[in-house]
Amino acid sequence: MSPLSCCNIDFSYHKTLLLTDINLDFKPGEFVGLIGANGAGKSTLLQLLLGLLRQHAGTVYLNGIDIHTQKRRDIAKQLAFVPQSIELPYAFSVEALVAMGRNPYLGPFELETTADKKIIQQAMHETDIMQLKDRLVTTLSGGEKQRVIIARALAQQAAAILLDEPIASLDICHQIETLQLIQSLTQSGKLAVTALHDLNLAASYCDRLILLGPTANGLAKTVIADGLPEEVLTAENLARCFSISADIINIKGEISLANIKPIKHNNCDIRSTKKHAY
Amino acid sequence: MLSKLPPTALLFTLLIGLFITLAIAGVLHGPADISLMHIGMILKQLLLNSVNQAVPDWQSSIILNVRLPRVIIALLAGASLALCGLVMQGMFRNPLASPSVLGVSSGASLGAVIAIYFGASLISAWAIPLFAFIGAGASLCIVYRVASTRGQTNVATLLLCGVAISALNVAATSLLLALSLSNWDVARMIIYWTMGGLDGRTWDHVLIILPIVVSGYILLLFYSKQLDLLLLGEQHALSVGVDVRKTRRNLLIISSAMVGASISVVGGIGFIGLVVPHIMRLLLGPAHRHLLPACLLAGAITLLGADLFVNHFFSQQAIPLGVVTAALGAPFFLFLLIKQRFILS
Repeated sequence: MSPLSCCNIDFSYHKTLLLTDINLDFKPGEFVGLIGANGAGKSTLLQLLLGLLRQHAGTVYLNGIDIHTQKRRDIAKQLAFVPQSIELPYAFSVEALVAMGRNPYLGPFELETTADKKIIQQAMHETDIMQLKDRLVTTLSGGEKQRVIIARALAQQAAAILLDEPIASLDICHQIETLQLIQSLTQSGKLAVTALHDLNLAASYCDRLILLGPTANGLAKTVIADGLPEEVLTAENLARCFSISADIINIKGEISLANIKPIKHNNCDIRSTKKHAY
Repeated sequence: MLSKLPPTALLFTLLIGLFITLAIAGVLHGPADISLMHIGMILKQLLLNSVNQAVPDWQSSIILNVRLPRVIIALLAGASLALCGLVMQGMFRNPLASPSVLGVSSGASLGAVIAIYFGASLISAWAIPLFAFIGAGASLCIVYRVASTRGQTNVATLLLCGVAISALNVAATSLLLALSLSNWDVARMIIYWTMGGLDGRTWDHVLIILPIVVSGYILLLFYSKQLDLLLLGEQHALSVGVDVRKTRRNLLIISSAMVGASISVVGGIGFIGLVVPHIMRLLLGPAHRHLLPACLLAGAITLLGADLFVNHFFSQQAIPLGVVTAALGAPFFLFLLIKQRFILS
């Protein structure tokens, strides 16, 4: 059974249809990249899959059961989430923050057992933050914070982990490290669904890409392509969803984009509209 | 920064010590001169239910019916205001959130003034607290409703809405006061009540505030982990299994009941709810399993301390208690902020 799936999802906000006809099915061990232009609905889709937003039609299934019939505590045992913002203004220690991942398993007055502590240590070990464990999260760099949040998600011991642009605010070295970390998780059998902006990194790390873009009538967003990077990143899709043209280089199935240029449409060329304005 | 601070245990010992010392000082201290030996005998009578003829009746009446309820009310109201400030700051992740900023305090005041203006307070001693609950609850309900859409609360909208509701409540309170000026007896009662304070408080007031504050505190203890998680933000809390909507709703109900109870008994004393939680957070860090008991103790100490201070040094003038809490708390708060800024920079 698939850990996470959704069928016929429609979602509207303020009576405007944003996402329509989303049908997805995820398998354990997949590293799925969710790509699309700004406003294509990547974050919205992740929040729908988490049950944080409520769709107007269709159903999200977590382990075969409608997610909206499940308690948040039970959802948290199966599905972990790394949100986009990693603002941590309160001075918790790194270890205390990672320990919060055990919350769904503990009652209001229960302390962590030896088994819980072992899981916390393991999560910090996997994300390579053992040396930070007594530091306050307010003193960490962006890359370190991101690893701490991922460690917290790991401590939830969920079979699936969703990440909303986890590398957006990181330098290139930390971006690669974070993606390698997620990759190693999927190799151990977890499902990871990650919203990403960098198409080259998405192509080289993800097993499967899901491209969100405008529907044929242009009124809402939907899944344009879903499959291997080489199937998704085609010239036609790039033009349709990102308004770019690029040289698509395929070296033994490894896709990369070079010479990326914006395609100028008459109605969205900024310079030509400016000329008209002045 | 933290390495220089005293360990948690030391701070709690200090707080408990101060709590007990001030409680005893509150019973010993007062305008009437009653000897220590007599006070001991009165308390012994109370506890052992024995009768001792050596103590005059007026003395035991002052101790049992004036000072003891006054001390208990000061402790409970201070604790309640500090706890509510802590909970509101934590659950909205905003240092500005407090009963007064979210319009809860002014709502409670308006409710109480309505009870006085329309004469309900003459019918029953419970009228003022009841109307204060309704006022606090209604204000909070409006503020929370306006700021939440689909289970998500926008904190900026929440604070702005709190300011708006607060202004409305204050305007309505002033209007009622202005209208009541033609009837001086009612106006005097309103003015006296809005000044707040601990004078003339009796066991009836203790009965109003005690059950609500004690049960409120016990309920809050169940939420200490969720409060920690809410500090990280709505999405973080949801992702580790906190039902944010339900948790916030329950916390709002508990805290507005506590604010309503304490405001109806001691009036508007705004500063404790803002400053005590901040100071405790600076000293103890953000974990609520430490902050909840610390704010309980520190809030109680602050209000009773302020009351003793006023009575000792300014017994001739009627200085509102809120003025003293602000005058003592603000400079200390500023000192801590500056100190923290220097260490962080």
